[in-house]
Amino acid sequence: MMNLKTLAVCISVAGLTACGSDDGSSASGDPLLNSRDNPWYINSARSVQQAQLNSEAINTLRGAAKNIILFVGDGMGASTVTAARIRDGQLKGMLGEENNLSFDTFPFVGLAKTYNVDAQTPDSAGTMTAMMSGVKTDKGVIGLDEGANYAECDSAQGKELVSALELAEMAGLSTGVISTARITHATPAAAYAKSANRNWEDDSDMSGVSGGCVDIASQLVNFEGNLEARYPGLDVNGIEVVMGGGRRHFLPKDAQYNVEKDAANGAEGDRGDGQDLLSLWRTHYPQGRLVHDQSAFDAIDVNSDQPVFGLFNESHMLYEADRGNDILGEPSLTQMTTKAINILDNNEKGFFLTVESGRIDHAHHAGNAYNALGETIELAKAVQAAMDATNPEETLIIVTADHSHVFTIAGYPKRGNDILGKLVSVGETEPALAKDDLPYTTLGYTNGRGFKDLGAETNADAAYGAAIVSERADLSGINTAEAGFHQESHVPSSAETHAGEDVAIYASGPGAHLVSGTHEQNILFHIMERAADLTNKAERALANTP
Amino acid sequence: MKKLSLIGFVLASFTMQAHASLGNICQPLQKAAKVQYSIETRQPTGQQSRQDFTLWRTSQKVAHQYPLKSLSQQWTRSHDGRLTQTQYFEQELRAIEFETQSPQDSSQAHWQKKFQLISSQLIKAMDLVTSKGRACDLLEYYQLEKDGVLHQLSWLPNKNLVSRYRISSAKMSKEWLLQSVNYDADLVADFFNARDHYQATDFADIGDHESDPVLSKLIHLGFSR
Repeated sequence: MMNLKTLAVCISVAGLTACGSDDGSSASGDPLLNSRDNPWYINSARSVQQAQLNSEAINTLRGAAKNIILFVGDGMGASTVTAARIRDGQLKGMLGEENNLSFDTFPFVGLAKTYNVDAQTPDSAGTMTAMMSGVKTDKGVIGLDEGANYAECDSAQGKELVSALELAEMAGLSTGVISTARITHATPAAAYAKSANRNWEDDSDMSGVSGGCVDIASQLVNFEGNLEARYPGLDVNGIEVVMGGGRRHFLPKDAQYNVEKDAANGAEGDRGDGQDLLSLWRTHYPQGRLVHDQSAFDAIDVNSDQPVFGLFNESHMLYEADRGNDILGEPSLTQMTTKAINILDNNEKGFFLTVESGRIDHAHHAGNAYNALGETIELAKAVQAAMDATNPEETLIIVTADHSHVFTIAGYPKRGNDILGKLVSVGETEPALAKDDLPYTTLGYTNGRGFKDLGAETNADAAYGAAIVSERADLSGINTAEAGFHQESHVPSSAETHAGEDVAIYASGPGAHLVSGTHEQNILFHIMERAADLTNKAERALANTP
Repeated sequence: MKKLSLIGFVLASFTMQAHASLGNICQPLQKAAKVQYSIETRQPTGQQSRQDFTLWRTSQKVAHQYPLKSLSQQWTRSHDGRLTQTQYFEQELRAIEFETQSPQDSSQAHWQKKFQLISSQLIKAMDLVTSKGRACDLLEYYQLEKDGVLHQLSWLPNKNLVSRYRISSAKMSKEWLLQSVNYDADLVADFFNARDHYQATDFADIGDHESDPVLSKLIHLGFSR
């Protein structure tokens, strides 16, 4: 029997033709012949050739990227990507495992260590700060280094970090922030805000806070002025595209400001200081477009309308599977991404865009794989849209997650088994039974609220209205592939939690070759900064200020 | 035995109706009201429990308040009929907001179950046994036995109010008994306004805030939808 080392040497030195068997057992006399005709062999050999071409074609020069797009799947750990890939394939009629999500085809992949400075298992605030600013920090803290203490306003002074979006803005690039969560939520906020507490989304969240800290919504609307104030003489034009949810943090707690909600049912806004930040934004950008629904979104002229401020929900935008239930209509993540690129690419200097799929995380917290995978598939579509809308030779696209979740693909299901279904073993047609004689699903959670059968419910968060279940459930008569099915969990808890293992980084375009190996998560900032030469461009802009 | 129970329930209902002093002017559905009930639960073992319950309502808002638990649940109805639920923790002055419910979970029957504790659909399915009084004080007695559950209802049709409602089965019995009604609109408005100023958390954010000590306590108090 030829060992693997011998086989590798034969392949490399003899071009697959000259190595014979070391024991002479092959009937054909060429033990590689069967391998070479095998489609798995052929396809993987082609992949190696492609990888070689990719390595040779990559532009490694500093500043080679005109545009940067950072996609973050909130909570999109490796098991989520794998399960979503299978789900997507099965929805296309494939067995599933062989399918590729758009970013699976990216030429460079690495791993990110996600821990926060003070936490083994991280949260989005600390992780996105690392990615956006190049510095790891504490859990719950946004845009500040570890010297700041969580929820202590006084400790924030002098700890402010500079984000990649701010550098891009200073460098004259167009900038954009998109999220399906509230735009003031931790992940998108790390692009533009500095806050000792991720929950300070508006002033009403800051009762008892002293020391002059400003809420995150105010920081977003006043971003341009704040940045210019930090660098005297600097003249920037603000963030060109902001889209997401979270209108509540921009409006006074007064029903007359409601956009969607009936005034009789109370105020949509949460602000206690009476400030209407949407009006303030209009004052800052009288030529801009403020949009709240699908029809206004569709009417945006990508060539003339900018900046654009889209707030499509009072709180988080709806899950993709639930989007049809929105009263005024919400755009999808793919639609927002495409629209943003078409606006931002009007700038000849290039653009920086960060896009968060924020609700993968929420679906996992609720223990609902159906929506977590649906959101991941939608993210993959948005990435494909970005690939289609940009030139790969001048655009660095990175896809990653801020952290993982305790989400598992377990047992030994047969190839092509419904990824949302009950586990059916290889060679079998009926669900396998566990030692308690009950069937079980391939997908599950280590902790969380446990089993729920909410039928066709497309809102994963409905699980918070049902009791926590810690016992095994009899799934015999239950359709586990339905939207409202929530997987069983091992440890009962009020919500499923983040996980601490590494997450994948996928990269394509100039500078993508630097994504290779196991990295501290904050390296992403440095890769983006180098690819677009952000710091030098920003420094030149500062040097040219009057 | 069932007949005796029926007679007893009807007599008690009519007595309670007089005792509650409901007044002589019919209050339209749009009228704000504070309606106090007692809820009595009995187990087959003889174990009993009693709690106070207050129904607060306007034309588009309804709240179920459980004073002993310092907890209230509120539903608001938008112009398209969809319901949004908020749970208020009255000691902590915090609220958990649930997402607007889908049209199928916002049916008229669903709203009526919150607004008047029983859907008109269920009342329609019941047998009208007897009635007493007239106009605003008309009191109807209904009964229905279905799937091993006996429903006995004393209903004030012109006020859309339950006077007395008992559900009994082999497992337990539960009874809502009207104690008082107050149509002071300012009082009702104050109740809703006070809760509207609680610090609210979107329930989708619970997973990211388990370490928040206040929220952690609320989680242990429980959410219900």
